[in-house]
Amino acid sequence: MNYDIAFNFIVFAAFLSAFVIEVGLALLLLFDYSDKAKIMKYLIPVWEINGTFAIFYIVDTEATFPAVLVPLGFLYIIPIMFAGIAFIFRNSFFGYSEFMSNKINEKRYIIVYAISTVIVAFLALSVLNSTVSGIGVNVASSSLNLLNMLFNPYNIMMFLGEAAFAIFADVLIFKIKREFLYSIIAIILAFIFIIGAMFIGNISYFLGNVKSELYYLILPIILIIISFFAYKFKDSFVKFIVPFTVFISILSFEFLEYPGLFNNTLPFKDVLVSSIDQPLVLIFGIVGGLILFASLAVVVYLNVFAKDPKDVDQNKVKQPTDNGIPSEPAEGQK
Amino acid sequence: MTYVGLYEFTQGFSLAFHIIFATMGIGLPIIVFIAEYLGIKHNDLYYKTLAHRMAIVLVVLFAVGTASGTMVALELAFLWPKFMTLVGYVAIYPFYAEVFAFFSEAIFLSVYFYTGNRIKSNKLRLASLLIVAIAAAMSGILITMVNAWMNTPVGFNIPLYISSGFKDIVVTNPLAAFDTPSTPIELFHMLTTSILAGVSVFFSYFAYKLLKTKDQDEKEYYRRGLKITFGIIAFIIIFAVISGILSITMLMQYQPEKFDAIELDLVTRPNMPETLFGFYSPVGKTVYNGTVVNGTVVDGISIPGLQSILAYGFGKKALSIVIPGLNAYPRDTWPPLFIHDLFDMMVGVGFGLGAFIWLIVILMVFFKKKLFENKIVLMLFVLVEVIVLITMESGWVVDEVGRVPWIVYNVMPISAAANPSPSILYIAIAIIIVYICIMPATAYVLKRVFDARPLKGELKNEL
Repeated sequence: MNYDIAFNFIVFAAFLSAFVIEVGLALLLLFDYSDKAKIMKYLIPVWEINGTFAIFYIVDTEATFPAVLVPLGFLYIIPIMFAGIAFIFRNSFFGYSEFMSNKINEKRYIIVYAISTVIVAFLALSVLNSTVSGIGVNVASSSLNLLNMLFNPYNIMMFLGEAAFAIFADVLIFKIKREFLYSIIAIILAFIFIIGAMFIGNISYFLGNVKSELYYLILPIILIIISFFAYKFKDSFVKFIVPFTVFISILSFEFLEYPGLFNNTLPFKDVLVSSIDQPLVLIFGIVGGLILFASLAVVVYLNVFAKDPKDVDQNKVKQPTDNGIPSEPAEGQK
Repeated sequence: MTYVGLYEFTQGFSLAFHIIFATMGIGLPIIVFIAEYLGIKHNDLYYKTLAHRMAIVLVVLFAVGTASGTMVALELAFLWPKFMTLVGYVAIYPFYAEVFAFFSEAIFLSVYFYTGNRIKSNKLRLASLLIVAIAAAMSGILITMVNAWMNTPVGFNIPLYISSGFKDIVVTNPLAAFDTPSTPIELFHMLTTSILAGVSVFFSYFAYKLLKTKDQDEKEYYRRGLKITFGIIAFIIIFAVISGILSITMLMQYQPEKFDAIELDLVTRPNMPETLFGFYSPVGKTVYNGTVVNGTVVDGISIPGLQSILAYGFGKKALSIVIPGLNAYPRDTWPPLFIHDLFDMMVGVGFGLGAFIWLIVILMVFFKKKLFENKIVLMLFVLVEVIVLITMESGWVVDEVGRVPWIVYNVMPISAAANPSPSILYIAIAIIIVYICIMPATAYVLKRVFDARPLKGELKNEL
């Protein structure tokens, strides 16, 4: 596989892993708001970074497949723009909710955030599912049947499968009530829905790839099994292995989707950037990716390993300074 | 309205709102950084509280601004796919680099705001804020690089691209978009005016609150905010004016139609007069030395030779240099000429504001006047934001509308870049409604946030 395409797949898998985990949390918030405290602890420092990841993927796609924008822009303008509007609601209402001291208003804002996130997910994943299957799309005449694209059995089953997969991951990561049972139910449903969708959608080349390149599925399956038993290990191991499982599963799925879009009627190589520019696109992506990785490592370090002074000594008394004003033990903003 | 007109309106409307968030996103981290630094340096509670409360605003604005920016990016990609395809081949790297600036801003804002209490060193906390400020400025710089490339496109075989009907793109220098002829001056002007516009919002806010409050602690707090923002404005406005002068000189060289439209130069001639305000009327004819141009300038003040003097200096030689007028270019490549009045208004107001700010500086520094306690001065300070906002939006309209009919100057017309899909109407309306609502909604939420956290209470808690 071409390195630029592989890198684009990796960026996509990283973005979608983070987003899928967020979507799962949004769904859990809608099902049971009582888990809010656990969920917000994760969401607050990373939700903005997740949104930024989407832009990383869009720009990398523009750089890697510049010729794909014209057909995609023409076909998917309506669902993508509506997803964009829902994204504005997602960001605004989460941003608003963070500083609400009134719990009723905070809950309202978080619910709007959660619904907006699920709408963004449904529209964005429907577009992605449609680029895989080509359902609702007539590539020859560049036309889209929007209702067919959104509400065909393949897309609905795929979305349910993706949602179930998200819940499987989140229940384990955040140890949300009866984690073992719920995660098993969720992953079984995810498999049933996704495999069922492939048969219903008659994604022939994909199913052919599954038969001929079955090894792509071995690693995700092993990781999923490890994830089930991860709760016996340290918490930090769970927080690493489950997102990693999500990432590898998405990546494997993409490799099985290779080499084309719309049920393989539009090969990736036909819309790839010219061979002269390919190394530069890759270098930009890798250098930027390393900066991103290093920056995220700082966030992870501060969130997981660094101790909050308040946790170290809750009863620490503010020490007076020379001018009589007590010094602040911490600059905690919330 | 044609579908292209609707796209233009939707994109323009979104950008007009987005640049307000974007400029605040560039200006506010500087205020927070300075307040945090002064708070630490002087162990000053008011500065620390200022940094804290402004950081809350920063987080909310960043959230809304990110969403707004994503929407603008989607609009660019899906309303103008042919244009973005060209960008994808020729000018994608500034966009790509911008993503990482954006990431750094998001990550280090998160580090400062959510985990700042885990960073023991003041220097490291300040460093995280400094990264936020630099990354925010870099985002603006990198996006402006693409805008500069749109104004002075380079890096690909332009004749081949045009002759092939916008199909054959042969890239000659994939990194050319980082350094086009107009890039340095555009960046200089964007950075200075963005800081000015972003900081002005908070300057006027502090002035307004200082006018209203009677509480001594609150007065101390708002006075500190006013000091920081006034200092930034007084410093940056000098560079905003210089960069503005350089920008017009650059236009004369690289975008002559835009320059002529801005100056309302209808006829090519030496000894060019400077026309202040006035309108283009298609009625009648302008005649100069045998050259006849359809239309005239009405209601303007014409100062003989001034434009030639401003462009080339004094002396007979300067006055004899011929400046091309709009008649040198096909009528269908003339930008809309209303930008002339917007430009004049922007320049007049910009210079007036600069003079006012520096008059205050002189009165305070040399005559020791305590003007931050003067109600009339504070009322004038409240108006600064309105003036700056009008100036900034005018400048932006002049720049973008001045490129019409081109999306990429002298290469791709706007009509060729547009998505031919006719299904945009309802989305366009939805986007416009969202943008109309988002600004007051954000202001309302911020008001509620601060109503729930009264300044007096926060200061008392800290004490």
